[in-house]
Amino acid sequence: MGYLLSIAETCGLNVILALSVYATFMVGQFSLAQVGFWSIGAYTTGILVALYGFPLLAALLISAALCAVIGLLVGYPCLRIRGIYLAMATVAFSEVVRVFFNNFTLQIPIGGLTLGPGGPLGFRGIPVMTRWPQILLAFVLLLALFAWLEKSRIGLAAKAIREDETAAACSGINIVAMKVGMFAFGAAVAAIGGGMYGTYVSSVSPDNFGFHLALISVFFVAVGGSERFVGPVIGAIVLTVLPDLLRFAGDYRMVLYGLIVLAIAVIFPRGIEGIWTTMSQRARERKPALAPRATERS
Amino acid sequence: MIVIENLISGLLFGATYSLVAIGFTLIFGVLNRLNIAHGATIMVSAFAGAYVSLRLGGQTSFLILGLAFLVSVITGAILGILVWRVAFAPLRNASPLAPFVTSAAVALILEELFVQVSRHVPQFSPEFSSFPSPLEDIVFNVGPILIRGAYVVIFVIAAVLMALLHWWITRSRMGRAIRAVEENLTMAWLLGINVRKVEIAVFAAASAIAGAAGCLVGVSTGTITPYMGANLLLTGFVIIVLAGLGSVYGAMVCGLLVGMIEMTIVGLVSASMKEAVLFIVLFAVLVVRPQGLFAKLDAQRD
Repeated sequence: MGYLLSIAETCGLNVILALSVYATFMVGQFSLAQVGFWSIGAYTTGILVALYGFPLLAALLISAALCAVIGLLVGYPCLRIRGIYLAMATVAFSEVVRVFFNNFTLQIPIGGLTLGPGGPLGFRGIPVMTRWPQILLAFVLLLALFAWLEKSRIGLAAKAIREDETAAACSGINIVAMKVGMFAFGAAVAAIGGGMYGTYVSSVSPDNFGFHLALISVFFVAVGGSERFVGPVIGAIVLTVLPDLLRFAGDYRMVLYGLIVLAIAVIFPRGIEGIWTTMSQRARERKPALAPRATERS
Repeated sequence: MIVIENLISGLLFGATYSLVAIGFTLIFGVLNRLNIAHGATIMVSAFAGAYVSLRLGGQTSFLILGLAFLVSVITGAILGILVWRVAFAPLRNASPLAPFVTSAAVALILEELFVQVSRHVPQFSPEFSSFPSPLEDIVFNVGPILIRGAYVVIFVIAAVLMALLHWWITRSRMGRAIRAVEENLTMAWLLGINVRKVEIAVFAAASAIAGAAGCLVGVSTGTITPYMGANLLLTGFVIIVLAGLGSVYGAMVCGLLVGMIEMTIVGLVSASMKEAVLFIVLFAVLVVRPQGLFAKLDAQRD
């Protein structure tokens, strides 16, 4: 039972990560910076909670605010670039954050123990404050928030930008505000998730937040589907449970995991959430003409 | 003096980075997609070369080292075509995200597979496998400056490969087709260029170069790990963005530049700072001059 519960808790945390990636996806931006914000959230919350005795909620909100501000600062210059360039800039951001924490020490003796981030050794001894009730609460709140957001004017504007930026601008949508806003919003969500993760596992190290996690966070969205917020939620849950279902493969389970991700991405480009759309579209088209991808070339 | 030594070593070793980045940028130029599995290709090729060297006793023989190099290159080329077939060919009309995900999945598969390979194949060891070569002990003294023989060999081989590539792209029929597709895919297609064939050729060539890079990196550091690809991939990222995406000659120059920056920082400050400096440089370039230093294509701007 405890084992199943721990899987469910990890699912909840990964859903938060997936939703934070999806937040920038809503405006058609492809960001790998979420891992950077995730680790900033984990460290900030950890420091506030462990070293200065803040309550969890206050620490989470402060981390979220901090990341939102960083998100605005990073997001604004990043607006000039798009697509692959943005992906690279955000990779650079995440890596800089990782290297920063690799060289960051802030150790304070508390009650006979020296606590705090210790560079490459990581940050050990964060009090465990996040358990399933907190995760469940955050999960439900975020789901509600995204469900509302998607139906709201903001969500519609985001969708318009994703479909056609020029058309969206022509219909009076403030593209700059939307993009930077969603980037900062995604950063804040990632910070909350990271803070909860830190106070859940109680020890984090810079190596937890490498390029690998950035790829996994994109897998969540791609495997689940990036058209509605349900997609990333499904993707995160499926990909969190998957390694445990693949235990029979022993040492090779991560190989199998990769093969499954590959198969889903190739067969269902719209993700699990879009299986039905993909299937019905295929049934209608039958044999698509073999033309090169001319339209989406920049 | 130390600074000059670092700069020269960096310049010579940077040639491997140039090779990594050339393959990466070549694929981007033709398909307009990033191949995340490029790093894994490098890693697998390095393992293939190391296997030959370990099996045949490459510690002393230059002939075996040459054979290992050849095996790495061929492995790279075959793997490249495989990656194209699995991760790129089925997604002709999909969103740009799709090939990113599929190639990242291929990278994950190969990485995890070679963690197991390094554990179970007796020639390799689980964490760091060695790549023996007769170059390890050769050192040149130029006045007060020490230069490792391995670096010189790396630089020469890389320079030859780049010259060959230059000839192939500018002079051969396939090279012309590649440039046509790069310039305007639809037009090239209408003119009867077999785009599929061009893509396969580019993947094979780019990955063969990656294989060469894998072998050279393995020889110069003496060790290989299943995770070496990810780091080289990130360095490749930095270089091709600095150079401007799709710019092959820019990638050559920026590879050397990045090598020099890295070695100097490792020598003067600390090894852990080198990535931070590189990524800060990258970020700055992206924000100030998104099209890169040697721009060929226009970066997408608002």
